[in-house]
Amino acid sequence: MPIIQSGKLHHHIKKQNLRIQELSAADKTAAGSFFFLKRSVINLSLSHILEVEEDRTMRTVEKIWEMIGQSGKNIEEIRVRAGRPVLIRREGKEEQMEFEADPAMIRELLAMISHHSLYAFEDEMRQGFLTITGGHRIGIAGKAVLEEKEIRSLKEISALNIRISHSCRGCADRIISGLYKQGELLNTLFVSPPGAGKTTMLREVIRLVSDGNTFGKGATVSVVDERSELASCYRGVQQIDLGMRTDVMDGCPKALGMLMMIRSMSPEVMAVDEIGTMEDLEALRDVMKCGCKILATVHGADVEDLKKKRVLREMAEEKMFERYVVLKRIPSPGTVDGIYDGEMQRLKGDWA
Amino acid sequence: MRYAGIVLMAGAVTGAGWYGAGIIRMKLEVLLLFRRMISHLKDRILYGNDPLPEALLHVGTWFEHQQIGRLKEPGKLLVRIAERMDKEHTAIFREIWEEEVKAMIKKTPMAEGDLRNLLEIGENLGYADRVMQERMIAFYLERVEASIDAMRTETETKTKLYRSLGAAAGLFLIVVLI
Repeated sequence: MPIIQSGKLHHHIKKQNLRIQELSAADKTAAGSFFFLKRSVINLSLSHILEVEEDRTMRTVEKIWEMIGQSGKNIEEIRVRAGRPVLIRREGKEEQMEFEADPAMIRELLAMISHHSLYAFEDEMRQGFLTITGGHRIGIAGKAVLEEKEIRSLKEISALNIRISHSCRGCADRIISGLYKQGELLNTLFVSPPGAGKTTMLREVIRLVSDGNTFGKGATVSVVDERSELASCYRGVQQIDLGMRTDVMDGCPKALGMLMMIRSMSPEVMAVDEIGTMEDLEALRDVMKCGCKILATVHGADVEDLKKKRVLREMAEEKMFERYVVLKRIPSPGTVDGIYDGEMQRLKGDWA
Repeated sequence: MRYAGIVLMAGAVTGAGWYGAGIIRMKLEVLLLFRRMISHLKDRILYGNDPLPEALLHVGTWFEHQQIGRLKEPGKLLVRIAERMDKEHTAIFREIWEEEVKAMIKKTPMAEGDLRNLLEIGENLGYADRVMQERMIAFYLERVEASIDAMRTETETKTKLYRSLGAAAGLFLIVVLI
């Protein structure tokens, strides 16, 4: 058994979630003497034990960080829960890692992924997630701090859900023909449950529309990227290729951003992720009045699901969208279940 | 030959006095520079909502280009920290800050208390929310302000003293050796 797991002191330190820097000199001496008397055979200083512990935490954090960077290895999701083993979902299957997470590790991981700038993600954290360089989304669970019935921040973060962003060149090739009619792009809504690849599909369609393809010439696309997930802008530069005629409004609320882009960038196509509020609907109406085409995504199991939500039902009744692309997770994310027209009639064709 | 030697020695002693005075003045200038830099950093963090590497790079580059000679070092410090944060993703921020501040101090004069304040701000920068950042930076600036006030009165008298002592020691040498 490793020395680090053998002493009561270690458990005390772990329980209290202490780190070397947080201990006073007196604490170190007192705890060190206690440890020495009780376990005189193992003559190790407290600081050494803590350093080993810190090293272990950092090694685990580094390992998770490496996994986040390995989007090519088909990792879809990493689940980090305090006191539980780290779980990884790869190609729809769950794998259990040999290491356990703890609050200190989660804290270090959060500091690392936020570039030691958690304050810069305060607004996003209030919504329970943050998006980092590369477009990866980190879902957060912890204790909410309330202020006048509103969430001020999250503390004691106990779980992270790291969703690895993928760019998948060519994944939209098989559906792109269904999104055009006589060389003109049709207003399209991508519908799928979470994790089924609608954002990835939207990115690829944006790129094809922007660069031009067999079915239509290149068009100016404006992307309102509220959560920095579509283009993953870092210091103003798109991390993900969305095509040569694409302009991105980063970190801006969708409704506000769409109107700004209409005024400033004269787009032919407007693209937004995860619509669903009344403000979104109003903004989309304004966008359409300007003759702009729309590409958007929404959460939902199928087209029937849209009719159950008030805002989306209104959109469907107005025939705002001329195409609905439904995606599913099985057998793998990004599988096209079907393409529907504005009347929600299934189009014939092999899209899968 | 003898007189030339005496003049050179006297010159060297006088120069040492002037150098000492220069160091004291430089300490004050460095502190004034840090005050301006950290104020800018505060603006970038609170109003620009910039992540730390971006804020550090922006402020560091700005001040590096504005200054000359040894006063370029504080700006370079922030640039180096930002670059290391970008390259060493898994490194701990306070360690990068500490290492770089200690490397800078070899090239830039700074009083021990001011160095301690500077190291302390690195322990808390980027940690917790915006309110905490604001309070922590305000606390640092408060201490820098107090240090500047103390140093201003000290610098005036000490600069004069060092220069006069240097010149007096030079004259004394001339008198003794001739």
